[in-house]
Amino acid sequence: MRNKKIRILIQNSKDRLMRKTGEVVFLQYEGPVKYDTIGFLISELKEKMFEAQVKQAVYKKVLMVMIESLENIFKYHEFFDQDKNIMNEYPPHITIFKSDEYFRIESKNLVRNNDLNQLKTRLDKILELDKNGIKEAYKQTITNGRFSEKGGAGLGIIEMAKISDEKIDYKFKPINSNFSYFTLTLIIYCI
Amino acid sequence: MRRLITTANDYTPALDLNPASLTMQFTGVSRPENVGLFYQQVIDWVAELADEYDSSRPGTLKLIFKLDYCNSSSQKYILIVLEKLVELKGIGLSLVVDWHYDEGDDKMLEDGEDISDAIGIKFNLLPYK
Repeated sequence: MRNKKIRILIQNSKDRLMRKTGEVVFLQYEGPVKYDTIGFLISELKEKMFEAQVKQAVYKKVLMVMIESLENIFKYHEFFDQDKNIMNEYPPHITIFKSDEYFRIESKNLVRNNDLNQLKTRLDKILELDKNGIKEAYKQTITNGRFSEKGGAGLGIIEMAKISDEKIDYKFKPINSNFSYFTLTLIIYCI
Repeated sequence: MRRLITTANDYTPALDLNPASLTMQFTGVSRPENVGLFYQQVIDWVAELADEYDSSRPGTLKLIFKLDYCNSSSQKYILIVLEKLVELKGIGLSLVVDWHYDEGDDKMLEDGEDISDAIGIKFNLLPYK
């Protein structure tokens, strides 16, 4: 219930910001994510940030969120590559929206329903934490966290939560008995 | 003992691990495709140093980080390297960590603070222009 409330608050907060300033699509990519794709998108983002004269501190935070999101998609891509129809209908996707006041980074990717509960539990735990709690979770995970078979240590999402200027927001859209489509949204202020 | 030097690319930092000067330098971007493989060479080098260092001559090992970007998996491996280095106290090597960051880059400053806090060693946080 509490998480539901938090999510509603975030949505209201987003709606307020949107009404006030509007958003434009700053960078968007949809399709397979290879390691080279990440490099290409880093160059694109750097160029656009330079053109828009965004402060380095803000640029580096947006960059970090984009890279961690894409690396996460890349790590698990082979689970979905065999199912071309699902991949075509629900491809990996990232959009970075920009308003005068903030960047909103929204990433979407397939997840296996078998992994859904673990991911949801991890996200809900992070949502319950304040900034100090997130820092403590980072410390616990970096010192004790075990690497998964994919090389992840559960740190990526904590890292993103650590620098996000609002609570992270997520949702799952069920697709079939095997897969769901996961959306993760973060806000970075342009201050 | 060998000096390990590697060049930087878009994914991995340049390494200069020098047993003569007792310095270990990491420069550039750290988001290797295979993070475990990349940092294993550093962990192996530290193990060699532990075997070959003359423990009758206490010294100070200096780690120098000049990173533009460091992904979360790299942070985990940096912590593993630091844990190995802390153990070298037993053979007379104390540790100093210089963490350089661009003065406008709050993210790299925060990464330095957080890794320092996690390992329990005070880093010298050094801004540059």
